[in-house]
Amino acid sequence: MKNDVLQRLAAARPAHLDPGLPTPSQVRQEELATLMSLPRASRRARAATRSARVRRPLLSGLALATASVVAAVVMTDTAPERPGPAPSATLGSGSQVLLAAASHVERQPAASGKYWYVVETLADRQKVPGKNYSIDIRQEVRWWTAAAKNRYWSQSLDVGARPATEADEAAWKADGSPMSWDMRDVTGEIVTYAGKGEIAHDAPGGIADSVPMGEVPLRLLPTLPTDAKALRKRLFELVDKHYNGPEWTLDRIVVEDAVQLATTLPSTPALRAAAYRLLAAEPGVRSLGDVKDHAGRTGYAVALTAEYAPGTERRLIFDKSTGMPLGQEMVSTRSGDGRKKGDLLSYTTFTMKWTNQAPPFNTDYSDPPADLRSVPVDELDVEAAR
Amino acid sequence: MPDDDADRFTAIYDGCRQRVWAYVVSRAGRQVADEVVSETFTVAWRRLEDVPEQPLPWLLGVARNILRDSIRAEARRAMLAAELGAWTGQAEADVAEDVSERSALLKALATLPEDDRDLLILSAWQGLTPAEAARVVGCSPITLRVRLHRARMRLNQAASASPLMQEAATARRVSTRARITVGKEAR
Repeated sequence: MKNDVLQRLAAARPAHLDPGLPTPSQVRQEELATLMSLPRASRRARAATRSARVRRPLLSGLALATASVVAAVVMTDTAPERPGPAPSATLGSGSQVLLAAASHVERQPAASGKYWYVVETLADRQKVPGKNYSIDIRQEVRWWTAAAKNRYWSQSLDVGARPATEADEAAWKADGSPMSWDMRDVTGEIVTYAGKGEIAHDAPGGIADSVPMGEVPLRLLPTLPTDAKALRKRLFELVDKHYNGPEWTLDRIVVEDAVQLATTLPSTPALRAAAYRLLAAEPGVRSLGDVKDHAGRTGYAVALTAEYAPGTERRLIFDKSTGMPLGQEMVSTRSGDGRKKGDLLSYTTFTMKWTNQAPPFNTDYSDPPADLRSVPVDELDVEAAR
Repeated sequence: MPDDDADRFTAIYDGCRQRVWAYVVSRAGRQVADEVVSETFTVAWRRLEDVPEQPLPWLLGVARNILRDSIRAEARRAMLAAELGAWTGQAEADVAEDVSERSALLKALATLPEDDRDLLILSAWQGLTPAEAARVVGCSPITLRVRLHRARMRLNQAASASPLMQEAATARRVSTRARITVGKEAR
């Protein structure tokens, strides 16, 4: 679709970067011969071979895996496995908060159902061009995961934009409380206060288990250890098995996995608690005290270094009464690129539960014509707003 | 069987080598591409038993790690800037009607944070599905879809900041509206 910025970008790809081009035959011949003349290390020999390759220590997968398991043991040994009444004084405040949340969440009753149903409200904070206030552009995404069928479906809705903060709301009122904002120069959309409801849904759905890395395969969830140390070790093994990279990369994926287990994956209370405890052992976890989430719910928050976005910090918010996750925020930790240190960049709120209620659309067949279905949400918005 | 291994490796190489090369060039320019590609396939040869049935996301993931670890971010940026000069020069030399759009998009792409650019390249230039791209960068498909959505918004924003781009965008909106209206009537 021409109007989609991704398609436009695809069309702008320089010709020599066409991935379908053949390798020049001379390069192919020489490279293949060189590569296949290299010794092939057996699994067992790999650690030794790799650690000898000083120039590129990043490739020593197994050696690093071993080192990291040792490091993880050292790290978590200083943390009590179960939160006691007096956590070790060496732990930061954030770790203590996470450990307390773990002991809280693991007492929640286990539930079951046909679908694990997650509703995420995703908001991007943007300045309105020509105005003195910012708005949160909000999208709601609903996910139904049928663990037994190994499938998932999603539905996305435009739930409208809102003035970002109280000060922004006052400025918006002073501006005559407009019910739509022309954000075409910013995001390519005209956004409205009311929103347009459903924009798209996925049918016939996706394979829930299709990603072996970075997300724990659904079918493995019941097999994961509920002890934080063992969980970290197991996640590392899973990541290392499917991935090859420097330790810090693997480590980031382990932490990302743990955040997924702690938040939107259908973890049992014990597994969720183990994920919290794993995160509690991360260096530099800070407590942010009591907060209200963006749905107005009362909770408390901790800050973690964001694994995938340098200069950004991830804040996780937990429910005061259950210890369940309520949402996360991405906050800038440095100034530049039009953002100030401490600026909220985006937030997500979660609500989740087991349900027997099927998605409110045909899960085997998608009704919009195929060419329209592929139009990304933001581009359709522009049209719909006219 | 070593012969089987050689056959399998050759098939993987033939199917993916140029794709990996194109990815590395679009991340850090031509200067380092051959070396990074060769290192990537060295890993694949050594760890052939670990290479999954669909090797491309795995290979791109390895290449991505090599880039991240062996070349400093500053150096990647500088090399990409040089590469980009060549691309836009090339786009402007073409006698296509969408030349300004192409070079504006490429320039906008260069202004984005590296993580955004990575996702956009994997999706638009490598043609990976969100699930495959998630496998490359090592995050969940849910996370990836959300991050890609944001990257796309930022690309839109960066691209429409250029005046040439705004003209092109206006023309496009008009034609798209016409087409969508036709689609509705057809239903």
